[in-house]
Amino acid sequence: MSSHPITEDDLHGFVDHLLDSARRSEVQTYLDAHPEIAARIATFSRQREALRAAAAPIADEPIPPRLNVRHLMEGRRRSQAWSWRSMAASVLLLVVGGAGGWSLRDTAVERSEASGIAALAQEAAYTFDVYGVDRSHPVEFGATDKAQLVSWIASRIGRTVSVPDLTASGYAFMGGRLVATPHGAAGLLMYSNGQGQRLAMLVRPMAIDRDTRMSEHSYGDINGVTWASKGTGFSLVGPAPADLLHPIADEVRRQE
Amino acid sequence: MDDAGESDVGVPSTQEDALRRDDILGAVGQLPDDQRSVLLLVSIEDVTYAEAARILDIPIGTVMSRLARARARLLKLLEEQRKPASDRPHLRRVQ
Repeated sequence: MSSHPITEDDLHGFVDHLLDSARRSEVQTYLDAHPEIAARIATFSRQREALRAAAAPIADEPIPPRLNVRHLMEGRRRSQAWSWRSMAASVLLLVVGGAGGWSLRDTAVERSEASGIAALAQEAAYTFDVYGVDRSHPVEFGATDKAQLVSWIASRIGRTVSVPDLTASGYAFMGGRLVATPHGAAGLLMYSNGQGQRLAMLVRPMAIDRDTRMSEHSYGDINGVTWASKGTGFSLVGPAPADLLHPIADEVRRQE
Repeated sequence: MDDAGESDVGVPSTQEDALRRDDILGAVGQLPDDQRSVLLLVSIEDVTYAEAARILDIPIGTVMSRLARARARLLKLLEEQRKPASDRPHLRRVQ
């Protein structure tokens, strides 16, 4: 027998194939000598395999990125800013439906992700992730077509968006586009400073959180400040630190 | 198993082998959220216990205790699901 006693943790490690080969054979020897425990562990192993088999058809389906644990772990490795708690929330959302499929169950976490300025902040970060780094075609309408851009956005989001002048903060207006969010169309306005660093503002109507104070947030490498005023939500995002973005957000708000 | 007797922990292996997809998913669905998240991470996502602890922001000891509770509870739930089957009239009860 082993110099270290076999613990319950070892038994689960055995079930989950997480032991090194030396410890694994020690546990196997122990199980051979304890048939009752061996029977329980065999049952746990069968349950594990049954669960994996049951989940396999689901695992083959494309799942939303935010539910994909591996994807979230990649995000974590890219930046310390990603909270593991967000990931835990995703895991909690993975619940098992009666018909045998994954389903999203209504939870406080899901509600907060699906609505309000938290959702807007996330949408802005995702949008920046795509267009903010695009070198060939970051905007649909350039700064010279500002009037056309404003009218396009207004016609789709149902309200007029004024384009803030951020030259005093060192950022020149590049142009913008209409983007899709889970909450409908939104306007994206893009700015760039002398060093080519960009920031973007996402604007859309808010169903809830129609008037909220500014809050700072980070998704991966993208920081932001998000708020809502008179039913319109604004999220200013970019790679600049939040303490630099905040005064710019104040400036945007002054010009509203 | 030939040696399955009084010490038999649960049900005959033929029934164990027939762990149906709906049964296992239904039982997992009945676990408390904290236990289920640990079980799914470890069983399906193949994360280590240390990774699960970081993901869920809980100590590794809590991961282990939740995992142990999840598996014990799952065993009980699956046994309960089978009770009606073992009560079928054509099955002879051994006293």
